[in-house]
Amino acid sequence: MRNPSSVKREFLRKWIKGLGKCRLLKNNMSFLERKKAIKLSADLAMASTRSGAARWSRALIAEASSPDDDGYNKILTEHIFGSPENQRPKGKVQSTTSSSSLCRSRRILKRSRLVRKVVKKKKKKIGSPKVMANWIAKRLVKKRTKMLKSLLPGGESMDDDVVLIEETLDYVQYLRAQVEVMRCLATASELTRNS
Amino acid sequence: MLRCLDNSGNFTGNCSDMTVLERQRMRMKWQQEQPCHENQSLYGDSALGEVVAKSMKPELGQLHFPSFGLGSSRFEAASAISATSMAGVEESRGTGSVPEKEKMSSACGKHSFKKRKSDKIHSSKVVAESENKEKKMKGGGEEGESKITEQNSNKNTTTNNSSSKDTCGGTSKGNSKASEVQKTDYIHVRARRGQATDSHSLAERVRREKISERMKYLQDLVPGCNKITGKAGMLDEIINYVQSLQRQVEFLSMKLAAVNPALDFNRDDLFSKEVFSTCGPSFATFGMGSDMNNPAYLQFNSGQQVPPPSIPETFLDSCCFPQILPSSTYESDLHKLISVGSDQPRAVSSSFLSQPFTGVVEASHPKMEM
Repeated sequence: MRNPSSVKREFLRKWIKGLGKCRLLKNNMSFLERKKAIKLSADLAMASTRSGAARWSRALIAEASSPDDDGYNKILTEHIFGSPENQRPKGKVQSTTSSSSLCRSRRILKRSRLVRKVVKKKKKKIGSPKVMANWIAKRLVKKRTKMLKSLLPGGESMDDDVVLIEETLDYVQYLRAQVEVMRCLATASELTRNS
Repeated sequence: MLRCLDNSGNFTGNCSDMTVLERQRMRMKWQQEQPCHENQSLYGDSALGEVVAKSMKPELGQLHFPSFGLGSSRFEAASAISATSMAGVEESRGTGSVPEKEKMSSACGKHSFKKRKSDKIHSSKVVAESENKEKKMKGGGEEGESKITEQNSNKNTTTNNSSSKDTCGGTSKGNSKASEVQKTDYIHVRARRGQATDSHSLAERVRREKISERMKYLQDLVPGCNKITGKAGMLDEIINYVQSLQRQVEFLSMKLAAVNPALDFNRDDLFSKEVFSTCGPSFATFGMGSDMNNPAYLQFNSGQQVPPPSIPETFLDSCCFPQILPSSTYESDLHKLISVGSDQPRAVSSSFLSQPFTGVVEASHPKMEM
């Protein structure tokens, strides 16, 4: 079974390494750049700790290595992952990017179907209040599932509810570990600076 | 028959520490060894036999029961039924008689299935299309089953045997309300009393049960979710929690950027122990893991860029040693979840929760040394 403390240790090690590489890449970064670098390296460290076994980690890496803004993210990611290419689940990364286009087309289909469904439901809605309440509840759940998908990295491509919840479980665990490690580091650096 | 039940009960009772899968497999093996004709010896009821015949007819069609209802020929009829049912089912299924036999003999141990209702769900592997095939078969013999149940409420084992021969287990029985899941290629789900037994609703039910089980795990993980029932509320809480965690990460990264203008987190003094001894109480609230004494980590050789990796480890170690608050709620929840996960092997999630973590450690070793 996965050990939370060893996860944290792993994460910290990778994160510090990544940060070191960022520093090598560019000195005298501005505040925002630094923040970005920290967050990015933390995310990547988290994702690579997971070794691409979970979809969200693959999606995170894919997102980070896709060129956006001024390609800063991509450069950083490549720099962090660097030569040990075996770490980066390359094949999987490509699949997630292609799956994003796939899910875009799926979304369009869904929307067209949904419009028809809503119209039908409104006609039926004049039924009993029980039915209506049921329908409302289902709508609520659907809305929230959509929100969760938007929050979770790579969540858009998970149509199955079961998979979505499993990924959320995993992601929450890792987020927690990340927060704790970062908090520790922050306090430690503060204390060293003050003392 | 009762002997078989007792034995299966004892057998399973002794193996409480094995996984559910292993238990089921051993039970199947044990029951398959038993001669199947034992089941047939219990047809003592002519009315039962009639009903069985009626329900069998539409399904198989090639059976003839000329001498049915006569006392002497009951056994022959019963054995004929069983033989042809096996053959017929095999034909139509085309997947071999093993699952069918399993179901037949599984009826013996059905009483013991009730106990492990929740465990069963965890160990299943879903094959959607085969499931649907399965359920269509089950749907075929419904009417016969309900008759059998009504007539022989006291001869439960008999009922189980006969009806399990008719269908593939999609029956509603008075005594077994557990949904049974076996680890074969198919998911065998028993319909609960008073519920529909067609393929779609059964598959839906399996899916729903899976979702609710996962939601329960999430409830353990997300603090403050114990009182909330219902999907929508739970999802709401989960969304809030994930958002808050993400915001925390953002905030902490900003803080780190502000504190450390040069991004050099590798300094020795940063990780020195005296710093932590002075700020012990503040670390106690973080609730870092208590079992940090892993010697393997401390033996890693250092790379050039990063100072001895023992320092990050000692950093984390010293974080946890001043454990004035032994465990915060987060940590205990995490431990609980992981221990829960280890007790109940979940087929899908075990694939990523029970990752061979030592493998990851070894993989990172060469990385450290570069």
